[in-house]
Amino acid sequence: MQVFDFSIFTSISAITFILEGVGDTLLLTFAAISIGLIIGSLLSFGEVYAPPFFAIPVRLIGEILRGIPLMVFFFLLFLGLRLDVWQSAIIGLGLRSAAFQGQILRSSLEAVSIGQLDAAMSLGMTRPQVFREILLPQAIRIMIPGWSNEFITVLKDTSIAFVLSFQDIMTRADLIARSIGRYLEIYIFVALLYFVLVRSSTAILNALYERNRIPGLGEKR
Amino acid sequence: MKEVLRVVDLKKSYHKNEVLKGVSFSVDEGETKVIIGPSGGGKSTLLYCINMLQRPDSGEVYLDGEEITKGKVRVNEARQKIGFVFQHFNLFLHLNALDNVRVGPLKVRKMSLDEATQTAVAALKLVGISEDLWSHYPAQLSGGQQQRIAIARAIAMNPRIILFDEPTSALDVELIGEVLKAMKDLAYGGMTMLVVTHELEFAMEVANEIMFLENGVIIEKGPPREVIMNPKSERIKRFLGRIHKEES
Repeated sequence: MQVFDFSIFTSISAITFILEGVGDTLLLTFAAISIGLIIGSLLSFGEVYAPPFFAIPVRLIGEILRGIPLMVFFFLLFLGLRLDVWQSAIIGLGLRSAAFQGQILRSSLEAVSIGQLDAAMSLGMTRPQVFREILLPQAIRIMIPGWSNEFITVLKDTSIAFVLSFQDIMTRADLIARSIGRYLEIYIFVALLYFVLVRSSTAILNALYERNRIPGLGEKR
Repeated sequence: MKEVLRVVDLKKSYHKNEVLKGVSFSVDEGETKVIIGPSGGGKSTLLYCINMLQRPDSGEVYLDGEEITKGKVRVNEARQKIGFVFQHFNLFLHLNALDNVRVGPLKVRKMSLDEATQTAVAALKLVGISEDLWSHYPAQLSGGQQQRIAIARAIAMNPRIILFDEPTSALDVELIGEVLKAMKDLAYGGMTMLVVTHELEFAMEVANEIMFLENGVIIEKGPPREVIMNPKSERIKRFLGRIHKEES
């Protein structure tokens, strides 16, 4: 028995079947990231700005979300709440990501120096103006690198939606591998495919960071 | 002379620590008053309480005769008339020099872009920041340049008074001069100023009055020559002696 048999990739239909999953993988990634961003923003604003009686439960929600394994989320939503495959996948990944995006945004908001906020107030800006003109534009820039990591984590963890039979790259690859009995070649192909997706994402996000970086700050040394 | 700022019996504590124990004074239009005193004596807290970045526990602050420490006054409107220059400049890091100065007139005073730009450019010229630096960001500028831009940012709001909180303390020695020059120009130009500083020469040259603040109270005030050359209290003599030693 030969170890590698890449001749299986001469079968175009096997490859296209797997590649057709790229769309769903990306769709799931973007949907989950978006939900995570919206809920994560609410969590971080709640933690930073809300009065304690509100901030404490918000922090608790964040910690609970961070403490649950993704797989458990999926089973809770799919088997427990009987949501469909797409709903379970998006909401599960989205909630887990909300907890982390909330942390990233909160630390970015807190990274803007108090002195600048004092200066903005001393000009007579209202609190919403300080937030809009000074705090948010800087926090978003500070956030990009950490947020890029979270993006690729979500991108890769869409593969865990395999347990829901979500028709992404992973599930399709598994079907092919089983049907032709070649696991190693198929999963090397899948690994490369994820690598290409992740590398392209980081390239785009790095470019975004470089373009929006505050001149003179965080220069490459 | 018209009175611009009046501070009456201002008190402020942090936890059990009473930082201001009843401070009263006033500043007339066009005057420059200098506050000196040892670290931890309450100088910065006094300035922060005047524009309400920190809430005083009791006492009153009047700006042009109107009490701004009253609860119902809109603090942000009072602050528009009180410039503040910080020890650590506190420029907005994501804005270039011009935008740092322009953001106040544009967003707070609601000027048009043209008008705000003209105002900002005039202020930048006043503090000697040349056009080639307008597009630079704070992290690309020297401390002296940053502080002069911070002064321009205050000027551009056309305030009734500017408060300076040790504006040269965070600067390298060779950069202090350019900032003091900008401040002197401003004082001679008629701006009303309240300056916390250790720069005694500056105080001698431009101050109408020096106040010595220690342990939350003003223990002596008077014309700079009297306070610096011939202080009544032993405490001030010792303090000045220490500053002179550091300078020499």
